[in-house]
Parts: sequence; structure tokens; C-alpha cells
Amino acid sequence: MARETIEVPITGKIISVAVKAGDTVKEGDVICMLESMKMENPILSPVDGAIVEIGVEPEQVVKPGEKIAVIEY
Amino acid sequence: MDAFIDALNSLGQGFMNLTWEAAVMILIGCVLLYLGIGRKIEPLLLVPIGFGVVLGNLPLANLGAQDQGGVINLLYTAGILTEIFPVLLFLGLGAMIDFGPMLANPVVLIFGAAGQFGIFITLLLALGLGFVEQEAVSIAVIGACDGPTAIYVTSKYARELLPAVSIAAYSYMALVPIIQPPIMRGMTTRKERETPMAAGEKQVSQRVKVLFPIIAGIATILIAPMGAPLMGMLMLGNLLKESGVVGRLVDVSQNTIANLVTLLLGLCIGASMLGGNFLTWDTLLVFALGFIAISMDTVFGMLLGKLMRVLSKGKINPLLGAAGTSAFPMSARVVQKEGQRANPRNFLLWHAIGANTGGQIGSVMAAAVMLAVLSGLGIGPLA
Amino acid sequence: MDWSFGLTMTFAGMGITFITLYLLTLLIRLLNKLFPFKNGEEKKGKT
Repeated sequence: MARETIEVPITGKIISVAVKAGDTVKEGDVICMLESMKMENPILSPVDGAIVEIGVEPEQVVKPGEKIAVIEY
Repeated sequence: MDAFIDALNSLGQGFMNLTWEAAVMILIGCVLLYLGIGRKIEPLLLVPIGFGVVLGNLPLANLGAQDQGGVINLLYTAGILTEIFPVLLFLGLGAMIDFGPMLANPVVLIFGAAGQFGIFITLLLALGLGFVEQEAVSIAVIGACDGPTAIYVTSKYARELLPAVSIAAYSYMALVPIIQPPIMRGMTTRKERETPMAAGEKQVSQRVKVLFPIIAGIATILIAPMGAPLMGMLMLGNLLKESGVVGRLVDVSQNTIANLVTLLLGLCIGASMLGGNFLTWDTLLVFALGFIAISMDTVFGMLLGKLMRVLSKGKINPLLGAAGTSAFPMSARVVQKEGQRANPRNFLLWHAIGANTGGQIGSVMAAAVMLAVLSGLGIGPLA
Repeated sequence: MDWSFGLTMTFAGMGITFITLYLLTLLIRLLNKLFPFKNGEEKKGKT
């Protein structure tokens, strides 16, 4: 099984997290919402797979490169 | 008894003087109010504009922008015909804008030039349709995707078209999320839209952020002095913000001044939309040409985007070209959405915001050059 | 119709806009080279 880590693309604040560890997701599903530059941006799953780990929680201020989630597929 | 009838008569004057054009305009005003309040579409603009339309068209109220000595006429004369309102809005805009993404990745600035191409295509079309030079330039500026710039140029050269041009400019800015995506998808293959780009967030030195508005302001104004009021205020606003030493002035620029001017500007524009000058064939043409202007901005942005993708050997996503309009932040948001739609790993927002701020500089620059050419050819304002 | 006005405007307008923005990219590159971002500078001077 391959694993892919989703990283924070841009400085901002996590508004909500839509999935939890163990959930299965499809490509394009929303993992969490990231508020940056006064916009709410969804972070999407790049693949069909299962969430192994979630690295963020709502209200958390994040920087580029930090781990949002790990997906196994 | 006669006195009573006279009194009734004077009370009925309003109804007696209501023309069908005014009635239609009042209805249009109410539709704008509904869109702003009921549907929450751009309420900050539509509520003052909508009520301005209603007030300006009520007979005998003396509240139209052209009613000499009326309250709104005073604001209109002092704020719009002198160009003070659009210029002050630019001060607020400068104080709100963050040039950071553009400074970190200056190559995106070039998209800000391509995003102005629609202006010139539209200019040629408007001339071909028989508009005189000053009118054609004013209509073309809708392609700058920038309300204050359009109002600035039009109030200078073709006042008669001011209501149509400003309403068209603001409407199409708001419609960017609907107008741009089909063009973006139509002009690219899925593979092109999928082009991955590093999210690319980079910091720049505070010194660069402070020096940029000063040096860029001096340079651009030396190149095109006619745009100095807009460019100067944009750069001043940004310098206030980045200097970090005048928090109070930043606060007043981006809140008090920007809000106050938006309110008065909206009211005046609304009150200048009168049946006689708005319900005309020209208004329809202005709207049609404005639509072409914004579509062409997108088309040429995408063409440059595709070229840049080739030149950069696949390192630049062509969608970024669409962010070169100055509809901020609508265009950037559209690019981010479309990029992510094609490839969930894509996150183009940082680059798109950079191109979008580049578009704001580009639109002021394009307008400044047009003003310079007009004055160079000795073409003055329409009487 | 008189094409000279429209074409003058188009070429001058597009040309000068492109050249100016290109000059600005050079200016920004120069500034970034003169004053590279140093770590620890963050948060300073933010309003």
C-alpha cells in the first residue's frame, strides 16, 4: 500500500476538518477547509484511499509543509 | 374650496410628473435593491446604487445627479466630476492590498499586462460601431475590470456614459466567476490545466515591501504621468500599510475612507442613472462591449498562460493567465478553483493572487497610457 | 472609420503596459537580490 501525505500549501487557519482517521475518501473529496488570504479554500484528497492520520484540528494556524493528513491507497 | 383643490394639486405634483422612463428606472432601482438585500449580491455597492436610482428618478425631488444645486448633484460635482472619489478609493485599495505574493514571484506580473488586452480589442470594436474616440476609450476601460479606474476615465472624457460604464464595470467584475471558467476550460486541454506547480509561498524582505511602492510609484508615474492620481494613491496606500509605522492611517484608509467613498460613489452613480440617459440603445451596446472586453482579457491571458507554460518547460500552469485581470480577488479565486478541479493536488492561489495584484497595476497602467495618448493627440473631454 | 487612432492606442497601450510591467519585474528581482529575506524577520512591521 502506498501512502501520500497531504501538506499545507499556504499559510492560513484550518476552519474545519471533514474527515477522521479510518475514513475512506475518493479523489476530490474535501479533507478540510483552510482559510487563507481572506478566502476559504477546500483541501482535496488527491487519490481514492483511506485516511491513516490527521495532523490538524479546527482553529489551528498552519504553515506551508505541515502535515494535514496521510492517505493510504 | 379652491384653496383645498390647489393644495391637493400641489400634493399630486409628484404623481403628475412621473414619466414612464422614470417609473421604469425606479423599478430597476428596486430590482437592484432586491439583488443587494434579498439575494446578498454585492450589497455594499447595490444598496447605495439601487436607492440612488430610486431617489434620482423621483420627479421634483431634485435628487438626480444632474439636478443643479440638489444635494446629490453637489456630491456628484464635487466627488465624481473632480475624480476625487475614485482616487480616494485607490488609497483604500492600496492599504488593503498585499503585494507579497507578486513580489515573491515577479514573473506573474506579466500576466497583469495580458489581462488588459480586452481593453484594446473593445476600443477598436467601439470605434467600429461609431462611438467617438472619448466614448470608445471610456467603454474600453470596462476591460480593466476595475470600477474606480473606469469611473475615473469616463468621468474625465465621456460623462454621458458614466452610469452605463460604471454599472457595467461593477457588474462584470462580480460576474467574473461565471464569465471566466468556460473560456478557461475551452482554451486549455485537461492536461494543461493539470500542470502541477509548487504551492510556492515565499517570504520577501520587509525592505522590499517598503521600497517597492516608492520606486514603482516613481517609475510608473514618470512613464505615464496621466495615471499619477490613481497610481500615486494606490502606492501611497500600500506604503502606509507596509511601512508599519502609521497603523492609524492604514486603518482610516482601508475602513473609513474606503467605506465612506463607496457609499457616496454608489449613491451618485445610482442617481446619475436617469431614464433619459440610461434607457438608450447605447447602454445596451456598452454592456455588450463590456462583456466582450472581459472575455477578451481572459482569452489573451490564457494565450499568454499557454505560451508561458511552453517557455517555462511546463513549470507554469496556463490557468494563471486568467488571473491577470484586476477583478480582485475574484479572478484569483476562479483560477484556484479551476486548477484544483483539474488536479486535486494543485493549489494555485498564491500565484494567482500575485497575478491578480499584477493585474491591478496593469489596469492602472493601461488606463494611464490611454489618457496620455488622448492628451498627446489633443483630444479633450466631450462637452 | 479612422483606424489610425484605434491602432495607435492599441499598440501604444499594450506595448507600454507590457514594457512597464516587465521593468517592474526586473525592479522586484533587483530589490529581492539586494535585500534577501532573512529568517527571523517575520511578523516585524506587520499592521
